[in-house]
Amino acid sequence: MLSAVIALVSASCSSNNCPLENTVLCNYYFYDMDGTPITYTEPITITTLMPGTQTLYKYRKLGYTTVTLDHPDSTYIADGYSETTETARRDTILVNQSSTRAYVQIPMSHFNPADTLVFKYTNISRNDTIVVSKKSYAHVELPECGTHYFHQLIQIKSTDAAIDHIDISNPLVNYEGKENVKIYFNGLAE
Amino acid sequence: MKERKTSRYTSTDWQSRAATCIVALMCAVNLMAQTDGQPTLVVGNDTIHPDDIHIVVGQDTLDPRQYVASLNEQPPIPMLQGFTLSVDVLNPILYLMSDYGSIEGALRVSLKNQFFPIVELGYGKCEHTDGNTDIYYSAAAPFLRVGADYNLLKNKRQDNRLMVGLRYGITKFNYDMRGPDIIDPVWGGAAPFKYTDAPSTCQWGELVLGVQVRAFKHIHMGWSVRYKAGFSIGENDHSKPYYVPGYGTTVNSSCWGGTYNIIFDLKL
Repeated sequence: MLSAVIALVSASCSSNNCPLENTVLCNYYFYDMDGTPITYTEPITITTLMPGTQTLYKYRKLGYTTVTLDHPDSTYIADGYSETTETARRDTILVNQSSTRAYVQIPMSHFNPADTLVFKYTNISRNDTIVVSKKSYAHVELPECGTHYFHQLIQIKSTDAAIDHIDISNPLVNYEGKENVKIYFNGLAE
Repeated sequence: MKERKTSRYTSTDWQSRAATCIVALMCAVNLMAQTDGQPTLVVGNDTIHPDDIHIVVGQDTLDPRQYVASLNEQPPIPMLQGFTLSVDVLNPILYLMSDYGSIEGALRVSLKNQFFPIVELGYGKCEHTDGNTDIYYSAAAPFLRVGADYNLLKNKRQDNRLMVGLRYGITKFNYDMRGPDIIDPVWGGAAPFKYTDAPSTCQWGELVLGVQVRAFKHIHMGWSVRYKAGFSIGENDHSKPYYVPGYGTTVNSSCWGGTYNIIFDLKL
């Protein structure tokens, strides 16, 4: 009887209920300017600015498209290109040419007080820049679930190339997959 | 001489003797099934109805059924039956076999051998490192439970007990949690995960089912199985306690527990 009780006590409290989807992403949902959910059909590329700067190498040749690289390439010089360098803010692509989307899921930085996102459209020449201020903190639900970084959104603002306005709908960014930000694009859904 | 001797008996004495004789008689003969709601006696081939039995002692005629009934009556059980002091041996064994456990004792008062208000006091401890994530958790603190048990057995005079009960538990403690550095895969950078003395206050309820049997003269032994549900588990932004002293792990919103007690009777 004693061994049975020990087995019951030790086994009953040890099941694992870590979340199935445990990637922390900020969910941006798309709406028209009146608040109707929409699907954005045109491809969107989203990049984010990184801390620090980088050196860009530009190769130009008369009659050819300018090539921009983040590393030097001597083959262009051998082909008659001229090389110039410039310093620019580091960035990285988070969403690449994604189309027909009703929402996008974007990771957030762990240690920066604010993230800057650049929305590049194919049908609009200008870009939109979104700056989201937040407070980030490490979170452990259970030791077997590992560590994650949660975020509390504080403020969000955007430019107005294609975006009418932007709102925080749920400030807590965790792995539950809830909508966090509403992006209201210009125009009305048909 | 014989009459003088008889005359010295008090009324109670000879009535007791008469009743004892009747009981002995009823044990010696077959007690038949009831007919018309009245018990009957069978002596040899004769069936005797109780109304036909008359015992004459001196000038008095006695009704045997009156004395059989009075013998079955027992004095009421006094309200305060005594105290018990118990020690749990299961959870210390659990601590030796796993990452957590507790030592605990209980003081219980017996009211009519039916209701048992109880106070349980213990000290729980946990040191756990997850093998996959390498996250370490530790906590050690006292806890308190108060509640009551109810003896389900019909015969409250016997030494064995089948109990159901409720408990309210509370503990206030600090815990430590630390793990490997957290790395930002996109923006880069790393930060340690280490929190010490994170405060937490937890409250929970328990539904208890237990059995106790008498092992020696003043010692009972018995086990209890407990279903536990948390009322409030104090957590902060960074973490929630993995183990709550007196409650168990917080993997689910409820869990099971148990005790195996050695119980010392402190009779009044």
